[in-house]
Amino acid sequence: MVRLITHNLLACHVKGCNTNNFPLQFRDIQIELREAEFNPDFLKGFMPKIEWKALVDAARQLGDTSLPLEQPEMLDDEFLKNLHHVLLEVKEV
Amino acid sequence: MSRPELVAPPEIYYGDIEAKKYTQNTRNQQIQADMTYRALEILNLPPEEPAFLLDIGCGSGLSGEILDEEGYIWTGVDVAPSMLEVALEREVEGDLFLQDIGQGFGFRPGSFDGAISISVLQWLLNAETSHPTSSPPHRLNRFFTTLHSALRNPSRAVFQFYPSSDDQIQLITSIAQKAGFGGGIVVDYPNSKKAKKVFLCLFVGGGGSQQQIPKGLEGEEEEDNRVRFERRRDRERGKAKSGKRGSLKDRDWILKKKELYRKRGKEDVPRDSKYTGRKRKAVF
Repeated sequence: MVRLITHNLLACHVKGCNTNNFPLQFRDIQIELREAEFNPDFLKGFMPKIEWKALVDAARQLGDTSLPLEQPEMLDDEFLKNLHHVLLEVKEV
Repeated sequence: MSRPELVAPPEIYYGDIEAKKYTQNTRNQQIQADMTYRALEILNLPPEEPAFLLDIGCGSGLSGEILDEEGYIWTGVDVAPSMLEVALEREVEGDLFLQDIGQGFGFRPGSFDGAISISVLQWLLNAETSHPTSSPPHRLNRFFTTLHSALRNPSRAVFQFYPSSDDQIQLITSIAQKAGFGGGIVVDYPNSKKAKKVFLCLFVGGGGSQQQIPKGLEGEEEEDNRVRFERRRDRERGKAKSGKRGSLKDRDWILKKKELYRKRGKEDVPRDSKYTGRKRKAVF
């Protein structure tokens, strides 16, 4: 069971596997939603670490289209809420 | 002191039964909680900023629960499936990975703001097979190098562990240094046999001036750490010393005795009255 926030950080670390090792592909998954506390400060601090394209792709694969394709400059509340939902509340099982 | 790491590898030692036992033991819970708080203190994260932490050897999530309480977001790895099973049952917030830390991590560089690990490193110090990749130095090396890259710059990693000799500490610190970490060992209560705790505090980046190894706690541990029943023994000892033993055959004792005799059907047990067990007047 992995949240998307962790999925976004995982890469294959087998020796010699240096290209095309990120993001990991989903296989045999079910989605589970689990509520988590909303924490805007954490999200703002975490933004620079996110690999945006991979996150959006992963979210779309799971059927969530609330995030824009390009990483927005302005961080408004609604965007943060969506991001929070995608990062911390969606779980692949 | 018993050393479970010498009995069997962790994924076997912490089977279903041992995992349950370990998690339900309140003394274990207390120790784990104390050490987690202390590790967080050493980790010295900037306040106000909720950080993303890695819990190495998270087990059943005893330490993770505290991370949840403190408002951190975390991910845990452990090698024992049964422990993780318990963690899932307890519904901790963090993500859990079944992973042997001796094989390194697969996280992207700079993923975490810090790492803690409670009572884990000693498990890496035993070779399970004679294959070169299962030798402790090789595994430690893999562990530290991948961990170093997974941590943000600057950040810290704090490991509490139980070394059985100075050689082990030497081995661990030298490999950590080779992997690029700075830092060293912090020992709490170095003069106490029981309360002594060894923390390995590692820095990523930051230069020498900015990051300093925190001081270990010194002095006497709190009285609390003594055995629970000792007070009773103290009391008894105090009584014996003071010489006042309290009369053995006081009124209560006599009444109890008489009640007992009546119950057993003995005849001629005197009635209870206000004179029962009273002292006679001094005649002269």
